[in-house]
Amino acid sequence: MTTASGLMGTPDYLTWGVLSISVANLVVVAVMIVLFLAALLVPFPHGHDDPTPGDERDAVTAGPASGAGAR
Amino acid sequence: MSAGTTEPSGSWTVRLRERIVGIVPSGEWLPDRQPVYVRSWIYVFGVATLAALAYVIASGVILVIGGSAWWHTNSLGHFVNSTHLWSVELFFMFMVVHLWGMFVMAAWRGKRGLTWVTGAVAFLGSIGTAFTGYLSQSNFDSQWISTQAKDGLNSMGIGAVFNVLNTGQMLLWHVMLLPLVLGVIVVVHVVLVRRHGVVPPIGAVAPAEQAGTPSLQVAPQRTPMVADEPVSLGRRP
Repeated sequence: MTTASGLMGTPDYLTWGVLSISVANLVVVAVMIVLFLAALLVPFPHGHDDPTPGDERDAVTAGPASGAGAR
Repeated sequence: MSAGTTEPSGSWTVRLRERIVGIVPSGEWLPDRQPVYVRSWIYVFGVATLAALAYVIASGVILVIGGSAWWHTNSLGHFVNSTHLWSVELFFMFMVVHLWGMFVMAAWRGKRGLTWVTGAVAFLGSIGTAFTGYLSQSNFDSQWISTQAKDGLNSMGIGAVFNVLNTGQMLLWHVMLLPLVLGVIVVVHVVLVRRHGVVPPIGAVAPAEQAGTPSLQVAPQRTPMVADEPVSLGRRP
């Protein structure tokens, strides 16, 4: 029978005072933070059907935060 | 109602139909154009969460067919079980990034409070559903988790109804009750998003608000999006 992962070895834990977290969970949290920052900072690719610059219908009249997600 | 009559029918089917149609404005169920501020990766994580959830459900259905012990004895079952686990991992990762994004954008603005609340409830419900999944593994891991969880739940008086040591109850909650409840909440959440539209970034103005009309009355979609609003994304009419 195949044993479920995580049972064969002892996971590494990082401890700081009362806080304790496994390295695996810390990596997952770090990846989520990187994903979040990338979602805010990485430009969204333009498609073939996107409006061309200068088209009056496509001028951004929204506020300063428009077109940049949550920035 | 007789044939040829133009009077509106008072039938409950007509009232129900009109109510269903009125929930989401015409053209908003599956729109092909969005405001220009939607062109950001932060708006992708909501639908990424839905995609992960779809795979979670599909792989879960396959596991149900094979049975609760299938993944212990069959390599295909083990593979499907593993993809079920990792799709859940992705589901939560995408959902948390989606949550962070919506939080910093204050996504409850513009009468979207219920959308925010249903999303939060879906998040909490997902944690409970995943928890019962851990308890349904039928291995030492599930035994350990259940024995650790029982004291905490019993201290809150929940153990009489929700007994984590009852494997059959946990399995049924995981494959039937909680997915059903969670599915309804997710559907309501998505319908509310389509009803009110995606939240604009702070400082931006949603097209419907800019036009001075409530978002529920923007219909049909194509005309105002092209003629009145300086926003477009996707194919032109």
